[in-house]
Amino acid sequence: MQDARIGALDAGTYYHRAALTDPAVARWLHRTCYLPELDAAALVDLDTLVVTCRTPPRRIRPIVPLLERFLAAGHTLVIMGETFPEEWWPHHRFVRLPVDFTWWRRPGGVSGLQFPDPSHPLFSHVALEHCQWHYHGGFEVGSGATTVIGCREGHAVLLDDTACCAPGRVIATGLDPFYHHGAGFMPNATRFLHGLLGWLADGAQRPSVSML
Amino acid sequence: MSTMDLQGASTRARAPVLYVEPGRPRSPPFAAVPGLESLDQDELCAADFAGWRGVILPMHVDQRRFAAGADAIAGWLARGGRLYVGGNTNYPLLPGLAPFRRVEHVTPAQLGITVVDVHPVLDTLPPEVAQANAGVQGFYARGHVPPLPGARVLRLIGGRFPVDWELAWPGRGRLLVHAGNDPWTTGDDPARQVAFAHALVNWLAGDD
Repeated sequence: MQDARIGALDAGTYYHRAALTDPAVARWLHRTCYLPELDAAALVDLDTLVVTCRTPPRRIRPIVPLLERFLAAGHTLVIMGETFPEEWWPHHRFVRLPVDFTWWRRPGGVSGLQFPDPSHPLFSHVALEHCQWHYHGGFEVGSGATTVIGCREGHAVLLDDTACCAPGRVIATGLDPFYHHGAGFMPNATRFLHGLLGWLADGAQRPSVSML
Repeated sequence: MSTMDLQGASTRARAPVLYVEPGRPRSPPFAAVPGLESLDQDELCAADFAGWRGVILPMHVDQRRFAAGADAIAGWLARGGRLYVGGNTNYPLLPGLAPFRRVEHVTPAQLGITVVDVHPVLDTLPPEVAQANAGVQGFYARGHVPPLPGARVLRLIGGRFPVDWELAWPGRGRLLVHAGNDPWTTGDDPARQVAFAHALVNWLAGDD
């Protein structure tokens, strides 16, 4: 099977450059798209578009119609953490949560993340422990959406929705690994990023019926 | 912002220092600092910096956008402009500015801060304050941006790597580089972060 052709938005920050030009990351990407120069032609041969971590809502709002058309053509949109989707994305409600940066320093501390189906294909690309550093919030889960990674507050920290924008597919997360990898600050974020991109390149496989 | 906009703006009273907002409102420690105004990065290009004495480029800005005007920034600094640059700078915001170099194969505990020289801005955030961060070390910086020729090194991390430095031009032009998380986001003491913000704006507006 051919890898999915993945595009990633570039907001021009130091961490976008560091993450997107890292050869270990770039190998998964068909194209990066610098936001001020983005047009429909840049998306025409992509299967998947990633709104990378910390892309400012001010820059995403004008391209939401373009993203909607991308989904209407049956493609996959991936919304990453700290893009403040509550300010621009109409199809899911993002709930911002207090961030626990130091759970790992407390004896017996836990991240708060939950994994409803540890056999989900994503976790053949990344170990459960490598999904955990901190999270900034989660999405309310509507019908047609699956919680791939949940949290103790009852929201989806990684959501997979094939219904809201059918025939397109939306994968949205409160995790921000492009930022932390680009900043060189969080080893698990780097591991998670590689796993996430590998899963996306594989077409973001869902659990088979026999696995349910 | 067009030249016409700037000419129009020049007839209004303008704060001496500009905070370039990276698509988000300016950082809370700067909320009530006098002498400061904010504009979003998408309303600006590097040539516009000449409308202010000092400019703050926080770590989350689109460096690619402003590096396209590196010559204009250099000219403005030579004429007396003052600039703060934060983050692991990966674009040449000035001609000859090398990209960030990460310190590899060390533990966060090996990234402690050493003061080399005094500075009116950085001195508001002593190493023991900047390194607090609820016990998480390495938050101040993870590497350095190689100083430009003639720079004065202010602080090291790991006892060796020049994380903070200042470059002075004849006259009052100054560049302050911090190759890590913006210092006003470090430490656990909001009052110190506000003090840093005031000191930075005063320094950018100053004549010393």
